[in-house]
Amino acid sequence: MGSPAAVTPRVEARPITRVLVANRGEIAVRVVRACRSLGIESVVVTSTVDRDGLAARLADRAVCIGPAPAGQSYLAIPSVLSAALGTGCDAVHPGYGFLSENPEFAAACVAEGLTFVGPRPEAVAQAGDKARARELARSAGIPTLEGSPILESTDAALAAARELGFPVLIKAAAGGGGRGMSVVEDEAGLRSRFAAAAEEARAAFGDGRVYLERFVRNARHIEVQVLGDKHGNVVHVGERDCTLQRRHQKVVEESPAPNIPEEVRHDIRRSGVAFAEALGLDSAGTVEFLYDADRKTYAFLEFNARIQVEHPVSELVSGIDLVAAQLRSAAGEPLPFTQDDVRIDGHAVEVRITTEDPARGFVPHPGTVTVWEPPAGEGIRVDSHCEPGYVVTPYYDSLLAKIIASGPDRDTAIDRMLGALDALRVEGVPTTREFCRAALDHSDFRAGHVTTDWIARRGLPDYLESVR
Amino acid sequence: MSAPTDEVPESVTFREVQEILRTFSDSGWTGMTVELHGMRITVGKQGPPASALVGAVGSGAADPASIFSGTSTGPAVGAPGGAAAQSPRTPTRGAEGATREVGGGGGAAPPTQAPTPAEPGSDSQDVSGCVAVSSPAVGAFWVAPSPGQPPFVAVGDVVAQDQQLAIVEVMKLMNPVLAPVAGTVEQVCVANADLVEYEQTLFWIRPSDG
Repeated sequence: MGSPAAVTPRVEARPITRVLVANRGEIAVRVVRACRSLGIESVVVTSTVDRDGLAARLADRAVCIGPAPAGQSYLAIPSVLSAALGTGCDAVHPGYGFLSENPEFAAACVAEGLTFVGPRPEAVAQAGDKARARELARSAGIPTLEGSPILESTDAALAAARELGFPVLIKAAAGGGGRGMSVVEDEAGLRSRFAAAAEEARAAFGDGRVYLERFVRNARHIEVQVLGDKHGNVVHVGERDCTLQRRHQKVVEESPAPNIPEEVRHDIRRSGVAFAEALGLDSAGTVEFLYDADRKTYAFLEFNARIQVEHPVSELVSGIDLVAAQLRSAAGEPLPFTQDDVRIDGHAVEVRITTEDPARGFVPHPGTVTVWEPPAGEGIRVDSHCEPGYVVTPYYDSLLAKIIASGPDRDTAIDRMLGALDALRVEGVPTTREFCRAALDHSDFRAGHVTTDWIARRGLPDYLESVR
Repeated sequence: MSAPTDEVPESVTFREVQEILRTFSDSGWTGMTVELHGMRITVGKQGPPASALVGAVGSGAADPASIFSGTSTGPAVGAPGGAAAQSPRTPTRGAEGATREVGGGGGAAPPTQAPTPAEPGSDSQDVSGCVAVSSPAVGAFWVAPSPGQPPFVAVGDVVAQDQQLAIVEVMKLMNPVLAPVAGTVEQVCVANADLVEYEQTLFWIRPSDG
């Protein structure tokens, strides 16, 4: 589908009364809470290691669907569907990760008569294909990175790279989250890397198609939260800056983005809405852009057809409950507000607390959390499934909690976050708390001068120096 | 760095209590007392054993984990200080937390709260010494090869090892449930067509050599 999707003129409202939460950890807790706020029942699926967890206890019901490895539980489509149908659910919320952007899963839910809380399966499929998504962006008049079409051979790649100019990025058409990318500095590098990159893409994603993009040195990651309904309405809920990353994994996120010209902010938001409209977005999604800090231009990166980890910062500056909005849109309700009603006020920052050890190369660290005392106070929100006795297993990601601080301005939000990080007590496992604190309080971050490679280039070396 | 198993922990979490109850429920034991740093959990499959009601606090007499025999069904839990006995419960779903019906939301249930009652109508049988047959998957439980046909097995039937006992259907995929041991079917724990969870106890079999 290269053309904008047609918007269904008439939509039947399909009330949601019981939602299967096909996820774990903090996002399962978050979805259960949103369901409760709307008077909707929730059923959480669990693996054997999660069946006594917070999400399972908060939900109206929990169903154990398989052993710890995700392939046999959270990713097992027949088991998830079986639990949904067997408990009388009428909708499925996939959270993020796992099955959230699997078009087969979305389609299977619909085929079984379940409302999928997310974009239409066709939109999930279109957004998941990087090349198709970029084509759609280009057709909607959104700036895209100068890049090549899918490349079949090293010779074709060399020709494309000469046109783009080095350095270039080899990207997998089916990749995402930073996986399936490599930077190549010159022709020799491209010659030696190209075939291997295609082979790695085939091994990782079952799809060996790759293409090239021009590589931006001083890049920032800015993304626009968009929200649509089944009646053809789309709004943006501001943008988030997720520039602080380590190996393409976000570490700190904030909204609004600091240190960008107001006209660029305006254009980025407008581009986000334009993409969502072209896609016919009928749920929540995120349009990711790469911002070139030197040229002050931006380009479309990819679209995420799901709720994102960092959604709370947008909620705190807009006052909009995005998960509840997803559920309402899925039920066929029109958005209860227009773009003019969406006000972005103040500033919010989020820090991801993971059980990784910065001093040891951020190796994830399984273990038992013996002490867990989350921070509280004005402007502090904690989204977490953690509690004393929580066991961090090697089976899933190492996210323990998201701490979100908000305030009338960026400095206040950052100061509150520093206080919250100081108040957080975790024992039993190492965490990224100290490292995040150091990064947030760094003069580069305070000034809004960080780039996506800042942690590797400066943040981590400075931190390791300070703790030595 | 944590060392979870090397020493006795200083406190017991809700999660660990759940794990203890689940292990007990799946065992052939009829009663058990666990004492850890001032917390005592006494569980019996027919109300709390008499010993749970004597000298609860500070008795110091009980072994860290003592097993006693009885002829009973249903786990019931005594709280520290000899709290009131719970009514007998069958072990079918018991401490697995399998069919939690939290209704109003549950939150953190007190660790000593008794597990969910079993379905009405399930047999009250002594399953001590029996082997649990647990579900290989989440899905629909079928006692017969197809509707209208007689069930694979009934209570009292003698079964051979690997004999088919039931089907758990996962989205049209029929997973056979096989007897792990030869013996007698002591109890069928789930009603036909019910949703069963992964690892939920479906049958109790009394081994023929036991």
